[in-house]
Amino acid sequence: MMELDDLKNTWQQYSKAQEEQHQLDAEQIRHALEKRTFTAVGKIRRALSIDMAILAFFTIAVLLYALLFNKPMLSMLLLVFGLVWAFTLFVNIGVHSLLNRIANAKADLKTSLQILVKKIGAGLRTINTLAVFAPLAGVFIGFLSTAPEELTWHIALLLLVVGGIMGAAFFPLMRWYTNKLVGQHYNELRQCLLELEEEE
Amino acid sequence: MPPLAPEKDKEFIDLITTHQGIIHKVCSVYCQNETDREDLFQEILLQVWKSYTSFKGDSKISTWLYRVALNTAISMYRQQTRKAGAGRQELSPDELQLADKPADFEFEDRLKFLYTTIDKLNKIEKAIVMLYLEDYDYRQISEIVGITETNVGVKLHRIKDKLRKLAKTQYS
Repeated sequence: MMELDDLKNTWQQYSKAQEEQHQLDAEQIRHALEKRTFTAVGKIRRALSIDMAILAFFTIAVLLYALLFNKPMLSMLLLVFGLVWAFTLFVNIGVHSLLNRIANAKADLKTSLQILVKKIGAGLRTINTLAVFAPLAGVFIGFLSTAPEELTWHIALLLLVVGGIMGAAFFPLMRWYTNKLVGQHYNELRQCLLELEEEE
Repeated sequence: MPPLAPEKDKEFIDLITTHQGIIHKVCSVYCQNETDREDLFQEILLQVWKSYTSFKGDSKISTWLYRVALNTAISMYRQQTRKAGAGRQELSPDELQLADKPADFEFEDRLKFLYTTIDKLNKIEKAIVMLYLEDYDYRQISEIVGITETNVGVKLHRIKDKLRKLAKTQYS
């Protein structure tokens, strides 16, 4: 029967042979390092540009509609889309900076994972909270900057309900989006951490 | 990528040239095909580069390198692709052939069995088994992984059990 200790020799022989076969010289190492930096930046740019392109399409379509058929709504829509753009940019940059925070060389595996899981978890909670509050804030700011009448309790309550409904609709969408981006990765990391924190 | 001072840059390249075997080994354990291996190799290289200035020499360079490489391999975000579930790429005849030695079928058999077993372990178990195969003792493994020596022992015991069961299934 094969035991782990019997396989030590096989592993070491194979690793040595592999090392000889895949040995990179200084120039190849430099090239690999440069290539990776460009790939990482490229990935972020590509992901950002796809999201931004979709958002830009909707922004232009809605603003064109307002410009051609409903001019009084233009300033309100500009404000709303300004907020949506700011929020989307914040989410995208946040998510991608979380994904690229990988190794903590000063820490062991467990500590590094604890930090990473904590940061990604906090990031996801912030995004989800903002997804609820952003539409609410948008409705109030939009009203205050465009409405001719004063903000009364009745109107405030109405805006609260409208903002709440928008937030409730936006929240599952944002949750789905962030889960799609980092959900599985986050769960895997948590699983690894649980494995390390398991009682002896 | 922030540039390092020329002498640091040379030091870094020398370090990688000497110890690149560690990175290759981590890549071969955590990746099942050549593209992923190349991707992870470059990512580890980048992370080592980023952390190099903060390395104060408190631990052995190989321990530090294992720490960064394993941290990266476990935490690296990978886009889910259809290729992910395809399983390990068959080891090529070149890979199975030990340098300057005739074909050794028993060696091939053991190597295939080793990788089949490794692929069935979770990411943490992979790290522990790899360090064990590298002849690291419990204290060194616990230093890299961040768990107690007793816990390393418990986990290794479980891994050995898994391996025995696999061997039984494979050879029965």
